[in-house]
Amino acid sequence: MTPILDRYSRHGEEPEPGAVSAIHSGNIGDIVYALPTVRALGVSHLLLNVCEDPGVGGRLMTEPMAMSLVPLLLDQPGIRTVDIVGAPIRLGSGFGYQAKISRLAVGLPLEHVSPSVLGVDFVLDAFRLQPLERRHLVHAHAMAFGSRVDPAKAWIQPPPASEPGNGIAVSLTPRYRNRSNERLAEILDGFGPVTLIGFRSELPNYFGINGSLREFTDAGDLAAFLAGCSVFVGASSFPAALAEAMKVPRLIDLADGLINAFPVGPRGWAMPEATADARHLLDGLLRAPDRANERLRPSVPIAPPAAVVPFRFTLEWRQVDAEIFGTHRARAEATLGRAPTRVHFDIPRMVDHPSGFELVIDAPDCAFEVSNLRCTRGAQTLWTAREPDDLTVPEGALMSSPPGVLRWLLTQDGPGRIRIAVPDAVLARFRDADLSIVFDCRAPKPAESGQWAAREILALRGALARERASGEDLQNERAEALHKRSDMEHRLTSLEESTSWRMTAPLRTVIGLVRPKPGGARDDV
Amino acid sequence: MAAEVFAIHGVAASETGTALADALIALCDDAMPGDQRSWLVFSDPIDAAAAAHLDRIISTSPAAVGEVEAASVIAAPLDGPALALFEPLPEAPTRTLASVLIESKDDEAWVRLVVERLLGKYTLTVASRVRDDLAGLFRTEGVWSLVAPRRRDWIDLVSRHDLVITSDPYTAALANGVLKPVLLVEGDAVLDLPVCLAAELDGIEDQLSRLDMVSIGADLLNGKRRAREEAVRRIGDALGDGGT
Repeated sequence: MTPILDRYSRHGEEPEPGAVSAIHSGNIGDIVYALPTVRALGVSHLLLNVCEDPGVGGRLMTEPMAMSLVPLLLDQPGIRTVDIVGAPIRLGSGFGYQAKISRLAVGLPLEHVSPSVLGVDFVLDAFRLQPLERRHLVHAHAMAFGSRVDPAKAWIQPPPASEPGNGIAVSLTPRYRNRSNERLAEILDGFGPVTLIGFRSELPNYFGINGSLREFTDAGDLAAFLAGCSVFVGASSFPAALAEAMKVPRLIDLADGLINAFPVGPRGWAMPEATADARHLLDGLLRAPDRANERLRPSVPIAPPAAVVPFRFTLEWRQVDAEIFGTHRARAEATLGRAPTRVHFDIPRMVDHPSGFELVIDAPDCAFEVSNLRCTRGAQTLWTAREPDDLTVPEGALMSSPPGVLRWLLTQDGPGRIRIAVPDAVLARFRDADLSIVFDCRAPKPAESGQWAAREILALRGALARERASGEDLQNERAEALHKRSDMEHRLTSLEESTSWRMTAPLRTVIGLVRPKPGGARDDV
Repeated sequence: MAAEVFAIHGVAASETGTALADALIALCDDAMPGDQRSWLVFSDPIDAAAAAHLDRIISTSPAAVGEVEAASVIAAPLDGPALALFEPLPEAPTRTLASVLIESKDDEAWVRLVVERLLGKYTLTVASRVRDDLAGLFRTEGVWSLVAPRRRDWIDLVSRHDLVITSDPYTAALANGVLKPVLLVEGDAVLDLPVCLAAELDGIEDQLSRLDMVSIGADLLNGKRRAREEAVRRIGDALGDGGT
């Protein structure tokens, strides 16, 4: 290997002398989009550079992730050797303790490194130097090397093991989101079995969507599964890249911001904005994927533009025995639109565990939704707010919502506060390690928040009508009971005044003494 | 099977004509996948001697083909702006409206009006592919003025903006092909194009503020895909008929 990179493992054949080689540092979805260029360049020896650089390019390719790609890559025509390599380098930022704990990069991003330094023919990371904000990732890779590729043609052949009948596959990640889970759930509702693709730690991404989670550790297995699905539904992700590469019938929710992986070629559609239109198209894809174009409703949408609202969040907590919140806090800022955005608070290890948390929200007048709020330690989720009392608001106009989701019409009377009822067992763990509080939030368009308000009004009207109806029922029951009582009193008086009643009195006394009635002796004798 | 020899007639032998011919060839390839064929591109008139060696002629102006009998002539079911939609361009969908490209060939009156209305609200670029004096006319603070005579530069310019305002239907089709919505000045909305609206010059800022760019992103992409499937079907039907 080169002085920079260590080889962790080799797969496939030993490369022949003069074999064309290329290196890629991920993400793994980007590697799928690189394959047309890999083929165009005649690459037979592919090197996967293990690299995590949250502070540089947002890459995340661990060694297990790279390993999971190997079988799929070796199945592609032309690729004979796959090496997994990495640089023993870690980069931080700042000084002292900050430099010690911060993590700009583990491994080495390569887009600015010359191929000759690495001993390869092509550094595929160069796609990151292309205008990614307006180029499909397939084109971005090709442009970096002047290659001509056609993303409209399938570039991965479905694995031979694939069998049809896998229903609808869904993949969502926190990145590249547009619709909320609730909307996606409405779109998917009633169309049959849904498989949610991801690891158990990613389950919060699917909160509110019915389906069974399925984990895949091998990209080949995932590709075989996707090839047998009726439709792939989701946002940009690694499974979406595989579905695109195989031209599986797909309905892609285009991201709210950066769009560089969108459906191209046959059987690929962008999810229409209206839920009814999206359901109509999904129905068409399930019935006849090659004729789904007949299911599109032409529309020229004219509507107010989606507002983008600046939010400032402060997470406050109090130590045990403290009276007030706010003595300890962490801050975050986000610009929210209708798409869910993830907000992440890192909380350093505490001397005493906290007794409670409050989220303080400073924003202009708008509708606001929080979901998937949870405590995490690394990739492990310790607790997720799911119960109605987990998130409460001391003051404010709350809208009804599913458990674990909080909807709020924020007003400018002051910052809004959400009380977070973290269980004691989880609170105690804040002394053990650095934990995080993570949540998804968004500021829906007025049309959607109007729907919230309309639902609320309808629910209140229904409750009022039920209360009125129940009041009338009680009145009727009372009147009926009074009427019965009066009737009984009248009949009793008539009976007591009758001759036969007086004549049989001694006999009833004797019977009552011998066989008392249940409930005690009668006092009418 | 021997390769068939096809010709495309009726597109000018220019940068634009070559791109349109490429678009038509790509549609034909999709309509008859797997068959090998050679392609020639003719502008008017057709060389009768060359035509004698052709198997098919696909013409965008069949009326001009009258005397050529050697080959079966197929009327291309697409011509005009709609064909420009299918040029093999790098697509760049957008979901926001921050930058507007204003394109004019030779009339600056409406450009001046649009610039006045939109200045300060969006990042504006005024560009022309033919007027090299246009840059001087709109040297206003906040407006970029460019001349982009080369087609490649022009397409790149379109892909860097969120919306295009133009008076040229061909430019409108190109912009829709790159997945950018279009307001067409001095003309009706082009119904053959996915998102090409007639501009309301008097209230253009209001018109832009009412555009739902999030919806347009998906509609434009789907509209282009649907238009392509329809075009391929129509060409496939025409090729299958063996010409007229």
